[in-house]
Amino acid sequence: MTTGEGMNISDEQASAALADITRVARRAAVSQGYRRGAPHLFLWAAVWFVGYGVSYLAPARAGMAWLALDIVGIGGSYWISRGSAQEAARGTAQHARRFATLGASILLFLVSTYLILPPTTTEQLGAFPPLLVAFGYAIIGTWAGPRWLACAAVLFAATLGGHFLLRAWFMPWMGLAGASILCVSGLWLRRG
Amino acid sequence: MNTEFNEVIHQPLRLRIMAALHALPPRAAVEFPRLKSLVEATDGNLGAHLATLEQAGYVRIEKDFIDRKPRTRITLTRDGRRALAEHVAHLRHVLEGVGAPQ
Repeated sequence: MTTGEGMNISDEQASAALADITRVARRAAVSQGYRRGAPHLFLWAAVWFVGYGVSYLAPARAGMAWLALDIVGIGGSYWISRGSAQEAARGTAQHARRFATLGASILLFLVSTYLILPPTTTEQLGAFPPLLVAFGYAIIGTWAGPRWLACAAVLFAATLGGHFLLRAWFMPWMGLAGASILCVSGLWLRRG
Repeated sequence: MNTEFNEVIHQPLRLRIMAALHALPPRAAVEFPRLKSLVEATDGNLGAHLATLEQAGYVRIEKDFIDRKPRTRITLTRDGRRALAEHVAHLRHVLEGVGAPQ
C-alpha cells in the first residue's frame, strides 16, 4: 500500500477528485434508491391489478376488497422498507415511526380530500389514488432520480387518458395499464 | 481525523470505485456488473483496479455461483472506508489552502 503525506497535488487536481467523488456517490445513491423502490412497485402493481379487477367485475365488493388489499399493500411495503432500513443500519424503531407518520399523512390527505371534494362517480374515486401516487413519484423524482419522474409522467397520462377517454372501461384499464406501468417501472428501477 | 494523501485511492478509477462503494449502505456488497456501470469502466480495467484495492485491504471480493453462473460481489472494508475518509479530508485541506499536514 502506498500512502504518504509528501505527495503534492494542485488545487485543481484536488477539486477535480472531489467533484468526481461527489458525482459517483450521487449516481450510486440514485441507483440504490431505484433498487429499493422497485419491490414496492411490484407489490402495488399486484394490488392494483386485483383491486381494479374486483371494482370492475364485482363493484359491490370493491370497498371491502380495497380495504383488504390496502392493508396487504401497506403491510408489505412496511416489511420491504424495513429490510432497507436494516441494510442502511438505521434503527427499525425510527423506521416504524417514519412509516407510520407517512402512512397516516397519506390516509388523512385522502380522507380529507374525499370529504371536501366528494367524488360523484366511481371512476373519480378510482382515479384519485393513482394521481396521488404519480404526484408522489414526481416529488421523489425531483430529488432522487429522473426515472421516478418518467414513471410519474406515464402514470399521470394513463390515469387522465383512462378517465376522460375510456370512462366505461376505466377500472379494467387501470387494472391492466396501471399495474403494467408499475411493473415495467419496477423492472426499470431494479436495473439500478 | 487524519488527513493523508493516498496514492492507491487517488488513481481516478480506484477513486470512483471507492466513492461508489462508500455511497452504498455499510457492509453492502455490490455485484461486478453494477459497479462497472456505476464507475463507467470496462471489465478488464475494473478487475485490475479491484485487485489493487483488494491487495491494499480496502475492498473484499467474494466469488460464488448462482444458478451455475459466476457472481462477483465487492464490499468496502472498514480500512477502506477510513482510508477514503482520510484521503477526502486531505483533498479538502489542499483546497482550503492548508496543504498537507506535517
